Amino acid sequence: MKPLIAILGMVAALTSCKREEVTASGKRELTMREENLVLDADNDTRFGHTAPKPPVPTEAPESPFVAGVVPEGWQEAPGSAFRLLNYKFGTAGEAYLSVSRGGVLENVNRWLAQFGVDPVDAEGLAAMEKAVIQDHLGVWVKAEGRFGGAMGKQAEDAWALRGVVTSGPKGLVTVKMLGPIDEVKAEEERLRAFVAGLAVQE
Amino acid sequence: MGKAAASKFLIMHALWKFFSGFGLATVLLVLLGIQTWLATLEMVDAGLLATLHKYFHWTSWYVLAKMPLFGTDLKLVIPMPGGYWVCALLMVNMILGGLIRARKGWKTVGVLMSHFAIIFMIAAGGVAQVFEKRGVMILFEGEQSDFAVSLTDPTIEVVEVKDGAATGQVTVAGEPELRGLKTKDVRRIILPDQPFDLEITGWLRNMAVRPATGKEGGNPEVDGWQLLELPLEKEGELNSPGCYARAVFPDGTKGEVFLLAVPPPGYVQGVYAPQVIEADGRRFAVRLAKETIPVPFPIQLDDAIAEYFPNSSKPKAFMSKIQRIEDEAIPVEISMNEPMREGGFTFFQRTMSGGPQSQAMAEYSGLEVVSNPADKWPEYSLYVVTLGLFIHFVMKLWIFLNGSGRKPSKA
Repeated sequence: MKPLIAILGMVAALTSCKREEVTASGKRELTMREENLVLDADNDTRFGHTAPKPPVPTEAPESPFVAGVVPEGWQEAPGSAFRLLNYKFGTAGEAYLSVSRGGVLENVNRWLAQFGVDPVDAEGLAAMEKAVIQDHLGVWVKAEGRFGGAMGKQAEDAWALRGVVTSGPKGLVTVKMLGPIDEVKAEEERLRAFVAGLAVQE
Repeated sequence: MGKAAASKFLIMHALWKFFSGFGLATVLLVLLGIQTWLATLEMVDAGLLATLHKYFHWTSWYVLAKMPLFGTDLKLVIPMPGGYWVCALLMVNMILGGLIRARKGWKTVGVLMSHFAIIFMIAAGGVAQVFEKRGVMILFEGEQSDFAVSLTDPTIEVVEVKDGAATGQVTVAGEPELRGLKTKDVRRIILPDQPFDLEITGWLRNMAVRPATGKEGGNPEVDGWQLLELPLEKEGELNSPGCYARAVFPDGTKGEVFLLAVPPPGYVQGVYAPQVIEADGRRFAVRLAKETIPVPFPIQLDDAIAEYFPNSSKPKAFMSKIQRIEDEAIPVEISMNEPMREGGFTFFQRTMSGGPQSQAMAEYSGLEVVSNPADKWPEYSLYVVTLGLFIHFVMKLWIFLNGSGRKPSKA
């Protein structure tokens, strides 16, 4: 009986904990992954920031447009890659100018979709109020109701959108105003003045 | 012929007939069909990578396939040979039966060509599984990189550092050395040409490094930190392995225990800072990371262009404008169905910065980088199969039209 127990014990030990040797078979040349090694770091430094960080926003490039008219009550806010000119107003209102890629129709429909409004087709686009920013031609976009959230913003009820989506030599140039319905309606004429006053940076 | 010789001949003949026969081919093809079907069903619960490994990896000599019993939650376990080895046997069968045993002549040249091409295609699968390297190169606009990172395979990398910078070559303990590790195993990894070896234990296939809680029963604490085991993710690339390690010096002494860990997916730096080991008056950086796949030239991302269908996050077109930097910078555009093939690597467009709502973020592009010596073999074999079958059917048609085929029987 004893030998059997001893054998079973050895088998159990061998299967539960294996000690073995292997030889590292790989060699490779240095790559950029070995650049900027952080050496002699303690564990707090090595593992202290385990939560993934979001990609670093790019610095706001210089806007190709300057604001000829900044409406009273609009406060300049820090820009970003997507908000070349950025303003806050009222309790939660904001207006900003962006330059990006894409077509007018797609971007109009993307904005409308944020308010749950059915997309327009080319015919619908042609029927919308025309907008001009220097040599850039486009349309005025209006929507009201529940804002579904976008660009990191929470969904909001009773919000409104006013803005222009235009296309021209500088690409797709948009000015978008978002905020509570009352505040946006109150600022609509000022927004038109702001758009009319935009000039190309010399 | 003596009785023993006759018996040996009969056995050899029976083996020859068995391994080159239609019967074996049929059984193997049916087995492959069943395995593919069962693997597809199992993949839903077990994940793609784990299922592919279980059914089709060359280390799986046999597989306990699980067949769902429809209408119940029960599963019938069916032992089967591993899919890789079924394919290998099919290749042997095709060589013996489809090439060596098959009738040879000008009438069968097309069929022989097709058989050869199918064997070639099966061989391509085998070569790819053993030798293929696959990783992702993430580039932000304006950045350069000369490496991709495997999505799945962890490696321990050891490199000497002088004056704060890596020097020489990197010693890599990869999948062959880490294969089959279990938490209680203690494995010594001999590092050739280095003045120390590594001893690792407490291997966890998915973990997180957390501040020590001080609770009993957890994993050991090292300088206020410990490994916390996490459930295995279905998607293999989401698992972050980790372990405890220490240096073993030539005189048999052992260094302090330290932690090695792969950061969670999305960790911006990509790897944790290495542990530094001093041995023989030299300094070495040791780290655990998903495998580094060097590419033979740096690539610079100039522009990441993403277009989406209106009102959705469904990608319409992704394109990376890059420069391949060799003796001079060569501009190349890589898009969804237009990879770049260069230097034994293929660069596919894989991911793009996170969708139409992320325009305020820095733009990046993810290229899938594949090194596979058999990359084009399936394409070549398809051409040969097509040509072979074309020759065969044209020949049959010609024989039929010229009346030299089988004569109709007289009623």
